[in-house]
Amino acid sequence: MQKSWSIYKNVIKALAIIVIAIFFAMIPHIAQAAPPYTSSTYGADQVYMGNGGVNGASSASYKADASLGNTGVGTTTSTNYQPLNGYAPAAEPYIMLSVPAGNDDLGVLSIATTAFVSHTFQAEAYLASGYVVTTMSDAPTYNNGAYSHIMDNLTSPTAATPGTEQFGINLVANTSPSVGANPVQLPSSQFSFGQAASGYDTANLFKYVNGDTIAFSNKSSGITQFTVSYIYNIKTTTPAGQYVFNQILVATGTF
Amino acid sequence: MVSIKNYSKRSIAVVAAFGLVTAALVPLLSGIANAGVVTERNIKISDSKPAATGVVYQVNFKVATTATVKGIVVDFCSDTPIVGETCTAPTGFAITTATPTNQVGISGFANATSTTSTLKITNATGTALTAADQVSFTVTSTNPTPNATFYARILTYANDTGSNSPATYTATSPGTYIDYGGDALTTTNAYTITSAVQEYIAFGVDFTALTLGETASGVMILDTPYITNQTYTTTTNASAGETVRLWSPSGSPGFGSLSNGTQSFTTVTSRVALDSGTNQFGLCIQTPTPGTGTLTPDAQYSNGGTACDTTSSFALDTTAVSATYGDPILSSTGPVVATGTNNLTYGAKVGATQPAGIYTTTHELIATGTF
Repeated sequence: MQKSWSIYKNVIKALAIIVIAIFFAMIPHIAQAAPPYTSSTYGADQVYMGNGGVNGASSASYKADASLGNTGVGTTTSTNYQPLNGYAPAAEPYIMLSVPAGNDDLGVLSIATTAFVSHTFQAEAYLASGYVVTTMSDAPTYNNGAYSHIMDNLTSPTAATPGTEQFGINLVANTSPSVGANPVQLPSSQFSFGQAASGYDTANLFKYVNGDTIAFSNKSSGITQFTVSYIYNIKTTTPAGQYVFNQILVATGTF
Repeated sequence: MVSIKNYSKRSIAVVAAFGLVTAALVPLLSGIANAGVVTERNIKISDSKPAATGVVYQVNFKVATTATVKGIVVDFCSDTPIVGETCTAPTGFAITTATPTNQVGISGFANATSTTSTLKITNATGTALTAADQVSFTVTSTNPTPNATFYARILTYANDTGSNSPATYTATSPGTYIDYGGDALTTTNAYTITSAVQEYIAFGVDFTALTLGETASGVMILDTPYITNQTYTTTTNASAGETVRLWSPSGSPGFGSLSNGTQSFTTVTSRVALDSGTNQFGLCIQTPTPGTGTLTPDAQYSNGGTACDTTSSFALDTTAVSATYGDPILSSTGPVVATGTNNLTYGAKVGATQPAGIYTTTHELIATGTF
């Protein structure tokens, strides 16, 4: 009897060893993400050299990620790499497109002069290989239910010409007419990299094609403030009526 | 003799060794580890306004793993794209058409128990994909209500049903998947630019007085047809076109025909060759060729594209011309720019029975745009 109990205890011990071994072997493989830094045999999610810090500190009312003695934070970039610096960079991708709501009224258009207006928006993307901002709107449209007319949009970069029916935009500073501004990198070009897209990046030349990319970044970027300049010209036979342009901008990040 | 104690110790050693070997093999057996990350992933939307309906969502990614994919999950969350974390559905967001269309790189995938915020599509046969193959498809959704960033988790599965498939997927228990990836999207305000184009119409004639007769004397020779041209221009942005009416003031002798106060030239309402009758007065219109738009003469007066001359046919409806608003003689269906030489041709022929005298009439042309 005593011998049988001894054998039984030993079997239990052996099984316990097996279970514990399997458990500790499983722990590394509950991790969810393929690490960004890898070799043929190792991978690392984040590499930090410094005094350290703490993530997920919390009290009843607050949560915090803290670091001590960071020698550098934010994004740095080379031709092929864009590491995120700091003790605890966020692990979640992010994209932001901020467009102030509003309505601009150009009043009555004239065949003698070009009407124009500008409007700003901001874009930002994090942990992205870039973003594009696309315009998804028809050119200014008159529609009275029985009759509709869409203003002639400029399909290639063209100078504004009064007396010719034209609708176009660009995202740079212009002198003819005097409207718009070049993209502004916030806080600086070290952190933000948004650009006006080809076709919309030449002063005094305007274009508009529904669905076109009008701004972009080829990498993660802080905030870039873009100014869109709109020009309107009409001819004598541009149908009379109220024309409405509903500007819809879509930001798409690629991660 | 082998003691029972020694035997049990050896057994423990063997079992322990077996356990360690098994533990070393666990990484090879575990299905959670080593999932690939889909690359070049994005979700394009056709409209960024909060709460916009009927928005097309195009899901794009490149697979990381060579495998046959039978299930795909796209889970939309307001809080995080991290697979395995809790997922709060974006407020107001709803997948309205979960049947994927425009499938690229895959085919035959259909909706499988999708919810309003979690797209689940499957194909029992699956599509064999090679690493870096492009996958794309579209669904229709309603955008979230708040103006904010929201997220999507993309997962591919080797199974279409049962465990480790979209059927058993939950945010915190996604099961074993082939590849995965997180994405971020954003809604934003739209803004409006309004402008107005004023109604515009212009109509002009070159001459205020026309003479039918010999050039030198202005006298008509019996049985000889004479013509004279009135030129006009017109421009309008009337979207429904313009109508030009010929009107003779009320009380005008002859009701628009040539008259000496008591006697009038004969007029006809249907076109007759000018040189066929004994006397006649009428109008003939050649179809103009505007720079923009089209102007069409009324059939009663139209000579088509041919210039009117003394052999052409003429007519004049004096009843209509002398009515309140006059007789329509030209019309367009849209904006017109006719600034070239456009002719209204008057013709007359006098016969021996027409009493002598000075015959006149007054006509006005009235252009009316319909905007």
